[in-house]
Amino acid sequence: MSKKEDKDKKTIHGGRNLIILCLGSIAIALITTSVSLYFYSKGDIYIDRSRPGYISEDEKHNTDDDIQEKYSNEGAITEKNLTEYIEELDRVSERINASKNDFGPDPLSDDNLMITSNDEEE
Amino acid sequence: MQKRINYSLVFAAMIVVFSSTSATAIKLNDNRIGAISQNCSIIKERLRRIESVGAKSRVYLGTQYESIYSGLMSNFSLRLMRNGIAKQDIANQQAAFQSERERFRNDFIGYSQELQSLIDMDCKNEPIKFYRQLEKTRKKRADITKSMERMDEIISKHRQSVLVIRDDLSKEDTDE
Repeated sequence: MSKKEDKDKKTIHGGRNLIILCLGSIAIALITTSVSLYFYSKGDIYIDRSRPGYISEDEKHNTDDDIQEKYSNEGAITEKNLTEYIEELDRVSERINASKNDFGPDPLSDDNLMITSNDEEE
Repeated sequence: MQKRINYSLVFAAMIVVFSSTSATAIKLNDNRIGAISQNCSIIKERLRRIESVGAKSRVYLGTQYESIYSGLMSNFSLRLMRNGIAKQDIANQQAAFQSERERFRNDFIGYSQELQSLIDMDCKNEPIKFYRQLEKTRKKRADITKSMERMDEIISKHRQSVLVIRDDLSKEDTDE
């Protein structure tokens, strides 16, 4: 076998390896993406705020959910700043209490979903 | 003897399954089955609206709980520590609140999955199956409310603990 033929054979072999590498990379990327998407669709999709259509634009602007209370972690503990802390806690509690019925049973009730028979309506 | 216990367990399980199925059957008379099939598109539309409102509420409540945990409780704990005040109840409340926040998140995911399955169901042709799924979804929704109640309880206890610290400080000042 001449030197030239030997060189050609090596080049062909390298090309095949490159194709295998590319296909392998694509296969690994597809598998990992599929696994990630599977887990995303089973859980995080329901709490992903950035998902298009999750909350409409109008609703986004009407919420005051960016209001956040913050208590400094530095400084002395005095009666006055403990009172301030309780006031801050009360402010957030008030906002939570205003939404305490948000997951109440009424929206999924038979009446609200119009699953009532005519006899019952009468 | 072991065999007899096994038979009793199977029989008990059958009774439980039968009673839950018949409970659904009692609630779901012919008129209701008809109402589900007839109002299927309206029901689905309402469910989608409930889904959207629920998502908005979850974001809002999640932010408020985050505010309590990161903005208030954690910083308060750290400040107490820096002032050499060790309060085990405060640390316990912080840990309990964090784990309940996680539970709230998981309860919401569980509820959303059931609600999504409900929306995807063919209520026109399978009203009984649809109603069973609706009952499952209601239970998951109730879990979220229970989680919220537990967090509310922790916040109340935390407030009470802070009041005790304040009263102690006040007494120390009076003594001096």
